[in-house]
Amino acid sequence: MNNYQIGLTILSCVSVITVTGVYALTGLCGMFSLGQAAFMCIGAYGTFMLTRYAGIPLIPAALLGVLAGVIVAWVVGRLTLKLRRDYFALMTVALGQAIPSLVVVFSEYTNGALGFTKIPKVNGLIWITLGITVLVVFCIRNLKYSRYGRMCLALKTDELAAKSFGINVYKLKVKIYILASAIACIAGILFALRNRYIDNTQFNWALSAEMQIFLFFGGSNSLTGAVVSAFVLKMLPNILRNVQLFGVSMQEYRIILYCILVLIILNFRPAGIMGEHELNFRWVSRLTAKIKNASGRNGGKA
Amino acid sequence: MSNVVLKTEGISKSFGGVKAVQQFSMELHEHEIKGIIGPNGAGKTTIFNLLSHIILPDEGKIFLLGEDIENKSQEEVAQMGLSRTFQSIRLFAGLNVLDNVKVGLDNEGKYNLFDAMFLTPRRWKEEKRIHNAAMECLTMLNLEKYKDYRSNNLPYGIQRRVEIARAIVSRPKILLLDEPAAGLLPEEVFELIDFIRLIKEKFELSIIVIEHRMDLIMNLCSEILVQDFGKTIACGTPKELQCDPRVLAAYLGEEE
Repeated sequence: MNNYQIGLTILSCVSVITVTGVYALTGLCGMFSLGQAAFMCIGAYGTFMLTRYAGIPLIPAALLGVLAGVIVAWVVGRLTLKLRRDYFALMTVALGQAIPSLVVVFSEYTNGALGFTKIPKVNGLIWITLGITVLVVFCIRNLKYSRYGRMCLALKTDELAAKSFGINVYKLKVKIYILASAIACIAGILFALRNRYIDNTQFNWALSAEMQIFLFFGGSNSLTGAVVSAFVLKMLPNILRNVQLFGVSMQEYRIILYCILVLIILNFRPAGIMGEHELNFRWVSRLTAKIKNASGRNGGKA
Repeated sequence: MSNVVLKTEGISKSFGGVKAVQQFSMELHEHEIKGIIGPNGAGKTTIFNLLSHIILPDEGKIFLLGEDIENKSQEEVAQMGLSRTFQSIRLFAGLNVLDNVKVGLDNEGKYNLFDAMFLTPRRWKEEKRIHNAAMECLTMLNLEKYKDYRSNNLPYGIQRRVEIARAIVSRPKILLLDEPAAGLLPEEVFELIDFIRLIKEKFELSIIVIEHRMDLIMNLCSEILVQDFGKTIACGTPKELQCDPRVLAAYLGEEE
């Protein structure tokens, strides 16, 4: 793999990590967040300001960066998760705008819109990213098939009924929001390590919206659907970058492309590509059995 | 006389000018089935919502297992052992029947988020316990053959029974049934009567049931409260109430 391909793979993995977090929030709990990019921003800036100004080594700084995100999520979550879901969604939009603006406010330290560049180089970043991606997906998959997953799906369908089984809906929501935000922080750190440059515009509203688009494209009830769509849709515009349309690279049409995909999905498969199905080994073995059967039948005919 | 498990002292609730429940007092004894009947808008479901603390009373006290629940949230009341079903079926549509029943146990599951994500031995042990308890409950109620079905694909009568199974899997002390026979066919109502008797015996429950179907109420309950416009207008055994003129008046209108 050349450098470009490695970079692209890392970028897609970062997208998979964030979408996995958003899956826990939106897919499991039904909380619509349009501000997860803000947590990527907190993770990235938090970590690399610490490495630069406090001289802390990367790994402890990264942990502190995630901790900063956790604290923000805890405060924001506690204040807003008692609101109705639509108000919570509105609040996350505000948060998603506020955090990147803070970067500009503190330009003295963050270098503002010019971008922050003193980011250490890490060798073998691709392996670290792949490892973290697998770990995060593994954890969220386990979460889905645990008592937490069931309680989340229960409160997503019917909060009142969930409460009548003793489930503390508010506390559970705060927990999942913190978890999703911590995951976004990790993704933000990896994103910064890959680019070795961050500025406030990278973590804007469009990035948060992109995550939701990927999630709904793959199927908000399917973790594997979300993971696959996050990876593929992130890669797609970059693969198509040499294709020209009206003299402009397809990469520039990224958002338009996503919008068209969303419209198609919402009209023809509202539950997303995968619906509620998960890609698992049983599914794969069933598929291979089907193919075997089909080829066997053809062989018989011949 | 056996123990009183649930007691209310003069609870009232108004919605604006509508006095939905006025001075409602009752005592529910251990292993008793009590019925609440009354025409539409008599405040029956409001009583259930007050008892399960979904809404709070304007005045009066509720004692659950001898404890005043004034400062408890809906979740805490549920955790204390008061479980309920809803007038319209509120199964979790995204989950299958087995998982729906498991939700009834999940809040008491003894493993945390970390265990859940990293599959620790504690998680496996607890999941196994929850699975076994849910399966035991489904088997006891003859519902195990539906365990993998999506709840919204099942016939109405089965959904009702799954909802009751989910409410009792955590072994509550008190079960509130809000119109369990609504929308059922006559033969299904008789099945439901046997079903409610069965769960009362097997799960040692005290039950309050709201219902319009007289056959169900008359067959099951040892005592019946008649509500009309928020007030208790009569109270007694099924036999006593069958010919009570006040009850007939509330249900059928005054005789000319």
